[in-house]
Amino acid sequence: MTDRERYLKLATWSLWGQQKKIVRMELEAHIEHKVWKYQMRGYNHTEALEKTLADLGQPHIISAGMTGVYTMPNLIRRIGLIVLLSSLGLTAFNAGAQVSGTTRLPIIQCLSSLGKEVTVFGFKVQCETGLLWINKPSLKTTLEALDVQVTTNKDWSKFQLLFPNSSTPIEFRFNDRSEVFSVAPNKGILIDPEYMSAQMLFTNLQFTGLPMTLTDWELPTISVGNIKFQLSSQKTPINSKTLYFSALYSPIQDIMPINAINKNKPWLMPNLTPAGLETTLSTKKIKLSRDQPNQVYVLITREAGTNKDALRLHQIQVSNANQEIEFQTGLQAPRFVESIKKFYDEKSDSTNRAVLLQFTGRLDQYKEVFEIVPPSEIQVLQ
Amino acid sequence: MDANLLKGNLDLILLTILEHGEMYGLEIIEEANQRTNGYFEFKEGSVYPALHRLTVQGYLEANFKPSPRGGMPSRYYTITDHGKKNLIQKQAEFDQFSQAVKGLRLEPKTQS
Repeated sequence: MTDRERYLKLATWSLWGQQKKIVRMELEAHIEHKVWKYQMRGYNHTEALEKTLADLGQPHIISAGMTGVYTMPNLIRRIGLIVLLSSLGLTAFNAGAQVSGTTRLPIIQCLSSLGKEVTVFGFKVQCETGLLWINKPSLKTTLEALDVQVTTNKDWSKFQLLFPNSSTPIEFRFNDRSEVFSVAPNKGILIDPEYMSAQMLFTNLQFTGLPMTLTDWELPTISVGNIKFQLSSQKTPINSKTLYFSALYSPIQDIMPINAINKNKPWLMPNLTPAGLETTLSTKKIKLSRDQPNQVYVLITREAGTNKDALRLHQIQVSNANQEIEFQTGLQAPRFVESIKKFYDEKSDSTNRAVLLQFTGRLDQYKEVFEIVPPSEIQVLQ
Repeated sequence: MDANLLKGNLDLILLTILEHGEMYGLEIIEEANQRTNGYFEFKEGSVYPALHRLTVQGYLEANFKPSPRGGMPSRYYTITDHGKKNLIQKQAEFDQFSQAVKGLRLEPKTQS
């Protein structure tokens, strides 16, 4: 990957759909124009690009800024839906979690409609794979005990992390449009600047330049370089699906661009309303012929809606000791393909197409977050 | 220039630059630099989120148009009527604030 491409990827990491495309095009034009200007002043292309990217500044600053403009307002709208569901008699609850044994880290999980499907980030998912909020003061205490430098201001609108052995401080900025809204029991939405979304945490941590992993299902462990911490303990467990969803949403979106499906309006998300998708789901048990239990998988299917094809992101699941995983799907007979290209191929019949992704545990290298499970290793049992 | 001062007035600066015509991001940055003899030192990447925020708020409109030198199309920003009203309000607030700060200063006593 070229420096330019890497920069564009990082700067647009947190965006998707139309916004991602617009910001990328705009930055590409900026880079191209500025490089040209430097070349006119006698720099060679490599020098010109280096200076251009330095002038632009760190890509995660752009990404974080754009997140405040686009991502958080979208989130707030999504939460509005969740609160609407809550008002219909479903309840939200506040779960506590613990970090590294001692520090209590309150986390609000959006489980307002347990077992019900809601739309989160444009995907229809089970609510339990939805939103996760992390308490900033607790995270600060936890990370400082692990020698991470944490800088904040009084109102928590700035939150900066510098990990040992990293020269890149990670700065989270929460302007007045990106305040974190949290869902609390019987209180609906609260404007609570002390919380940040787990997705935002994961999205930004990858800019440290250090190896980053997410491992273990029962007690998920995040590692950034030599620093390891957990967002749960046996006493105060976290919903692993929620945590993994927060970590994996952006990488999934990057390799499985949902805008590729809608050919007429390529910037719009496909229609995922119940009217557009088959809503009758059945449980499919999948048997894998690989000797790796306790692995995390994501199933994505392409299903024919009333107007157009749509993607359905299924629950993130972990395989059992028998190498089996279970998913709920609207497909009667999923047809697994061996590449993303084949998944999107417009020439052949798209019906029943599915792809199974195995999470490698690594979150730092874009290309290495997932492996596609070859169809020859997949057997649908029921 | 104090970065906080720049950040706190970024909307006012951008709307002022766009008051009399459309421009794309790099042009806006260079214009700010030229008009103020380099007083405003933007980290260029920080300008784009602000431009997008102002667009979402309805103060600016944005469209891709062919770049004057060819190559990739640039995204041009134009101030809207809503943006112009907001600019007048922001300028008045800034002038008031500036006057108020000046009013705080005590005149040095003249020595006789």
